[in-house]
Amino acid sequence: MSEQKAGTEIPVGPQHPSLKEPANFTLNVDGEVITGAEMKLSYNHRGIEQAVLGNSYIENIYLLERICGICSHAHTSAFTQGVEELLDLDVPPRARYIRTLIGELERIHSHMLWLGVAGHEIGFDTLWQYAWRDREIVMDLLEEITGNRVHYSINTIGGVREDLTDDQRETILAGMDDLQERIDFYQETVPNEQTVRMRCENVGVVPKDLAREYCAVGAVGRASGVPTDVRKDAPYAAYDDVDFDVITDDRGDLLARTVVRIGEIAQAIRIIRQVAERIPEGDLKASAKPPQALLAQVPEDDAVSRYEAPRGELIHYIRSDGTDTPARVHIRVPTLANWPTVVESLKGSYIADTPIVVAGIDPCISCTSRIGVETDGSHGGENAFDLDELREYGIDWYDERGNVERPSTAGEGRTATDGTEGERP
Amino acid sequence: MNQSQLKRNLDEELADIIAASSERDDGRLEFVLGDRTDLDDAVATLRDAGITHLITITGVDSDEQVDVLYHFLKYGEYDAGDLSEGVELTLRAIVPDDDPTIGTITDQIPAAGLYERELMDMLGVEVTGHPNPKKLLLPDDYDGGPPLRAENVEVTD
Repeated sequence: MSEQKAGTEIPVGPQHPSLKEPANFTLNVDGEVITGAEMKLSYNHRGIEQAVLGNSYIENIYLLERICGICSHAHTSAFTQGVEELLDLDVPPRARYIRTLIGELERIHSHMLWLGVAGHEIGFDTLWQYAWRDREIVMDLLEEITGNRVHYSINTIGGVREDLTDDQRETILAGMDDLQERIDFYQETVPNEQTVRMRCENVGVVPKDLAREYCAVGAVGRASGVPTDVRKDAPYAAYDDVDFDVITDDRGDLLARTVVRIGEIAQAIRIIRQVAERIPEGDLKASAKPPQALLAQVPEDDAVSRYEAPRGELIHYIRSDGTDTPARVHIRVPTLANWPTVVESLKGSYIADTPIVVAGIDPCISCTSRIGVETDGSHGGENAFDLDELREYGIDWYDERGNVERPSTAGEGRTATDGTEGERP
Repeated sequence: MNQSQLKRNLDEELADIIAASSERDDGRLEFVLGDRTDLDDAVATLRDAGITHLITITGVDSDEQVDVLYHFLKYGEYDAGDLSEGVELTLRAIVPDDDPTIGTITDQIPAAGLYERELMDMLGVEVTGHPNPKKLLLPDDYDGGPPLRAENVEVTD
């Protein structure tokens, strides 16, 4: 019997309605418990790294911004900072403060979006609607400052394209007061809420040694006790001038990731208040020269630019060949760095936990795959589960059982088996 | 330990296998491997020096060779919410176009698995000893050649 069981495979995806993006997981199961998992990402290559080579540095800002609709500012910041390093440009303080402001507003909107998605995945749609309603505070601020809700297009080489007015600073501070109240509420309620605890506590555990071994980044790493944060370990923009804490947790489960992300929203509010209160007067660009004149000076060199995107460390590697177009741009997005932890933490979980474990790293396939080829559906087969069906299944499964015992995370498939540390209140 | 001290230590320990090393203006250290077959030893030395975080692996096709860059980070120290600065480090291995192969480092750093698959997909550098050398980013039925090799890049100005 056991031999037969070990051979049961459940394909999940690539149609991935809960995330609106294609990824395929093949789960090996023994009854309800997942014993092995494999993933496929090759459904949506957009060829952005190739397209970059045919465009000038200025054009590429807008191309790279379109890698992702959620962390668009992260990509343009990483890219422009890299080009500024090649050109040896000093970005004026006011521009650095504005970049920080947009970056933190983006972090809040991304984390609130995730909180809503996570609520939806566990069948807690009230949380979803609350989180997305409150996210509108930030979206409205972004629109007011930059003119856009999604692609802010505020970065340019050597500075920013829009100034911040005094009225806008007042609006931002008022918006942060409103948001602070809501975040206080989430910090109080979400980790103690029965539905959230039932579905997230001790689920999708990534122990510290595993997180280190797989070089996890961002909130996933920090929730497993790996404190990495580019804003501190290689400060850019105005992060040297503002006070904030790196939020960590050592339990490594989904609840820890939720707590860390909500904590990061609170820290982002702290940063935004400092920026709005203290932003120095001054220029917005490093040089009054037109961009074409700057680009004529790009030397033959290379630069590594790191940025703390909402999902974690983002890196752009840029190589220049002395022309106004780059010779190579390589992008490593945080989701790719965190995928192996998903595969590992699925092992030993129940099938019903799959949607929330996958959503737990806040995956972004459009960032990761970057590559347009229509899927023909042949990879999943006709009996494939799609994630929406699996989400329904998961919710029903837990409804029927109420509080369930967690399966042991110790198993052959797992490369590291340390349990969670620390006690929860 | 700041990056200059780290560089001095590593220069000494890697003396036999590196062809060049440099410290960049932004503090990033770069080491160029003399021979790609020493990659394993170099990575082991870095790990012994506490540099365990692999950021990514970048392949760059340039005249008759592919540069394979291993980007590492030495974590900063964490103390109650505060985190000190880390050190970025790049290890460069050179792979000739007529024999595009390089050994895997997944046995030492499991996180390299996906990045090595990306390198195989995009640059056509075969990573020998990789535990799961399947396509990662490109579709299964793609046969257009590695998209980032100079001969396959279509640049329209």
